[in-house]
Amino acid sequence: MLCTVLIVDDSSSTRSIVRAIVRDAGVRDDRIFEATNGQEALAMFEEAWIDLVLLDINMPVMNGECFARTIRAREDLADVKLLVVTAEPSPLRHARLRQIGVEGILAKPFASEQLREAIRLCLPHAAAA
Amino acid sequence: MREMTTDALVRLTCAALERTAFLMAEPGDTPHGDPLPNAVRFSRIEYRGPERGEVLLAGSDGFVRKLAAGFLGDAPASIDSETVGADALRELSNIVAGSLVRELGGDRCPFAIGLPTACDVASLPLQPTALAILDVEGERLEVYWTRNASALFAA
Repeated sequence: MLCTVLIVDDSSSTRSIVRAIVRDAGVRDDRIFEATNGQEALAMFEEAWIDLVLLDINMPVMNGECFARTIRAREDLADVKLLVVTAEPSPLRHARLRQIGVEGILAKPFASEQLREAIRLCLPHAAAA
Repeated sequence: MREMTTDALVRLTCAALERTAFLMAEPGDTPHGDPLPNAVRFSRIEYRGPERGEVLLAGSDGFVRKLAAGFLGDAPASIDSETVGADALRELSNIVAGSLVRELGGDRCPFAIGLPTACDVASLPLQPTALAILDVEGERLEVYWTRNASALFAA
């Protein structure tokens, strides 16, 4: 099974780190897309069939919470997995995100193995691709 | 709110550097050490909640190159410090601020952090609440934390 992952983060450094880890987790490089904010990420859904979104929260234009809410409001995207990767510390916000329906929240700084494991849990078939 | 010491600032910054960029750091500018290169790149981020504050990072050119190189798995010499290096420094300030407010607020952590922005030497606080100067493999990183509890009530 070919899995498609979208990395949404306003930091190009973080996108590069995360991209390398996603590749390590077994996802083909041409199946990894990037966006710098929630609005750009929403537009990507018109172009690709996304399985997993790795989502930052604090971003300009459209933040990760607003993006997650928009995705979860769309029935046609109900099977998209959302994994939050953020330095945002607020448990209240984390609780809101869980209520919205994100699969998990990983705090920065994270060990690459933590992210790989979280990706494997969300995309159990990725490593076999 | 919990208190934050310079030692704690050093500890959480070192942890962030090691985890994200595989860089080793230790308290710098010791009396017997060689002076570290000057900081030339700056990034700041604010947080708010029961109190407000700011984290500002200042790094030498070599530091931001090493940081970005560690993030990207590249050679420091191939890094454009003005663009890629500055982005890496902003992301580090984001991570350090997140770790700092988690320490300040404990499990309940009622803080929100803002967006990191590039700034210049004029933004350096004259009287930071805590300042950590780190020697990161021979390069300089300064971490300024300024607690500004009064700002919340100033309006």
